[in-house]
Amino acid sequence: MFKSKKIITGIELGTSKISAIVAELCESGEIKVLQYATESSDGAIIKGEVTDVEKATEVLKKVLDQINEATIFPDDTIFLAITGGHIKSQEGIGTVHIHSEDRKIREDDVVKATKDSMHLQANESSEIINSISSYFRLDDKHTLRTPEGHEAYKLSAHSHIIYGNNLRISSFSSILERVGLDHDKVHTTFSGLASMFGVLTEQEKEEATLIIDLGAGTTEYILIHYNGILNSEVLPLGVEHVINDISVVLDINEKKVINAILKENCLDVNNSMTGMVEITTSGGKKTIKIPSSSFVKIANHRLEEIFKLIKKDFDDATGVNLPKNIVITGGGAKISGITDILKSVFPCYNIKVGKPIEITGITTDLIEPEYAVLCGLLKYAALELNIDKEVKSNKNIFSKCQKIGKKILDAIEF
Amino acid sequence: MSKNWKKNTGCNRVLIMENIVKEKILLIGVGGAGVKFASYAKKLDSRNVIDYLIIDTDRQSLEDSCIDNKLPLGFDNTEGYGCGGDSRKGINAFGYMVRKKIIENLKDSTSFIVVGGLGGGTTAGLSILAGIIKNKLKRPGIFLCTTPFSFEGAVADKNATKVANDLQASADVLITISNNLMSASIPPETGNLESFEKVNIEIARAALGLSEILRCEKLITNNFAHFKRVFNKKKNDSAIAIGHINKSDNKETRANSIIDKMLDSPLLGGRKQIFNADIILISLTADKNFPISEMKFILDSVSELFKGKNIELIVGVNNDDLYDDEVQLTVITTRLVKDQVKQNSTILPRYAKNKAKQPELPLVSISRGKFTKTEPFTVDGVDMDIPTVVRKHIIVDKGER
Repeated sequence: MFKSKKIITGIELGTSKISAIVAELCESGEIKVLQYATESSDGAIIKGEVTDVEKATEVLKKVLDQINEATIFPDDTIFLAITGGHIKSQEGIGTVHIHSEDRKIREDDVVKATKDSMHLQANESSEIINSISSYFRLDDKHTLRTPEGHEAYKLSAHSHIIYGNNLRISSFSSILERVGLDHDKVHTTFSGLASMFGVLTEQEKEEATLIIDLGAGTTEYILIHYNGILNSEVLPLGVEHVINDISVVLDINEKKVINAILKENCLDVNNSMTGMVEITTSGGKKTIKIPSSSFVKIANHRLEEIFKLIKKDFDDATGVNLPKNIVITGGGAKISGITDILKSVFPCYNIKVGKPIEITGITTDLIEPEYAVLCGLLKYAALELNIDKEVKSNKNIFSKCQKIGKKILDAIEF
Repeated sequence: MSKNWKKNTGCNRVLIMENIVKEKILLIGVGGAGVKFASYAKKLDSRNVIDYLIIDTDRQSLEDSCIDNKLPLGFDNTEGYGCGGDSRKGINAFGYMVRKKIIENLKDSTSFIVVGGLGGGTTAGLSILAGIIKNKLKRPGIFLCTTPFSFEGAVADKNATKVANDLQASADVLITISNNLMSASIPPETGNLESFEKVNIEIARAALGLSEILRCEKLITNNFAHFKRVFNKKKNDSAIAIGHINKSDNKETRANSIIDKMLDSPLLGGRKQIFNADIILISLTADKNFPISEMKFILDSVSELFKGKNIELIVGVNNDDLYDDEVQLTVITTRLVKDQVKQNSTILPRYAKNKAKQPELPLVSISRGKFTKTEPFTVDGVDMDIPTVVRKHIIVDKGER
């Protein structure tokens, strides 16, 4: 636990909104939100990637202005969530041969194997965002999480590495630089990972769980399967595609589609008395009546397609049975009937909408799925800053994320 | 009053009826849906206090009904197979000679409740029936019509809107209820046959509830004049909720139970829907021994629901000894539609009868919309930014334009 109070800041540059949150890490480990602010991205970010640096900077400044008045935070406690279609993941393996006479695995062996496993096998333009230790194998036979003290000839460490294109990542950093933050000190975090920390309970982390963050521009998903994180990906498809589909197919202005979804709740067939949605044309002279079932039909096909892509990805890549639990979060989780669509693609699984948990302080309107990343950043930060301390006392070699992986999945031997 | 009723009931009850029943109400079911509603009403009408007539262009529909009083329409044109959704056939079916027959069937009744499903073919002629009731017979008539499900598409909705517009002009009272409300309050796992049956029963109960308001002795007034004031010439989306309790219900909890049953009525569209209304008509019907304390509790509880909300409440209490320890709470919620649609007639000019219209071929859009200038995201060579329904050639009803 923390010996003194610490202020941490989370920043999310999302497709629909740019947000910042400041919280206090109490000695008890409690995360107490002091302030948060959010503004519309106003088209500066599309599909999770920065398309207009100037505008994004302007919006972030506006957000930080609201925050700064109350709190001054050091750069090294800022955590930035990043996403985008360029983000990929791979499994890293590091191997160490045990030369000691008793063949007992010692801390140094674990450290070396883990460090080797976190080496990225990708081209020069790739950059590691997060790496998380998953599990260990002894002589390619036994799988376990804490190998120290066991006997073996060979120790293999398996890690999950999340990486992205360095130019795309630097576009996020450049925005921070423009608002006067030292981007080298800022910790970058994959949005999907932050969501996972934000909404999953300890039990869900222990069990096999698929977490889907259906955002405005992207959908991030992570599969945890006993041994650690097995897969994490980003689809550059999100709620904006649903809105765009409706706008293109029904030939309605995008703003009017958003208005119909938010104010008339047209994606909920049951909400409308007549089953018709009335849209006034931009001139205001003509009113178009469209069955709400048309809105639902277009949205359902898009959402179903997104979920099927996720399912196919896991069927192809992991070759494992899908987990028991599916948790959907992000702004898209608030779409009426989303769990039913999810259920149609992933039948026989426990499906729930994930909201931020274990956050205290000023949380009005914050405990909603769309703030999963923002709240998750705080929880990720709390773990990382806590582990930093341990790392210092541990020869400063461990990947901070290895400990996080250990925190997520307590030792279960196989 | 039907002869059968007199045959099957005791003298005392006949005497009671003679004292109380001043109205001779005829429930008319028009078209496929209307015939079903009327047939269910006949089955539910254990007191047998109103008369029934069914009118349809479909021979099978008429034959399947338990109602004896049947009036076939336009069999010359439809060969007894119905209009198939063709509104012109429906209007033609109410031709001059048929109108005479209708008047003959209706002349002995003092008031009318007409039930039907808008959007179909036969019900396109409802405005003619409304004209007969209002102008020829000069008697009150309440038209209780359902509007199509959204999945029936924009054409059915357009037809329904046109007929509703005509009816507003020609009927004293038109209450339209959306079928879509059904899906809001019926549990999703309910079988489709059971769901439709529930809707038919609710509409039938609603029609019977309306008849109670016209028929019974009034303790607190809400009568046809109230209906006329609320509904006449006003476009509305309405919902009807019925709560019913009988002898077998626990006397201590039945007052609460009737309110719960009313709020859970399938055609209310969910409990929240009740607060979307502009006007609410509440009618409580019971026998003369029903305790005043329970009556007050029920009406107070219903009124309490709307406390602080800008909703006009019209409350009526009716006394009917035939209820014999039964109580019915009928609630009609009405949301007035602000923009009144022009009163266009659906009756097409003669020359339009055979005028063919070239249908428009739908243009398939391959637009990527707002993602036009972004880097495409492809899966197996397919551009995922193009709308899914366009890529998969899924037909979507774009509505009435």
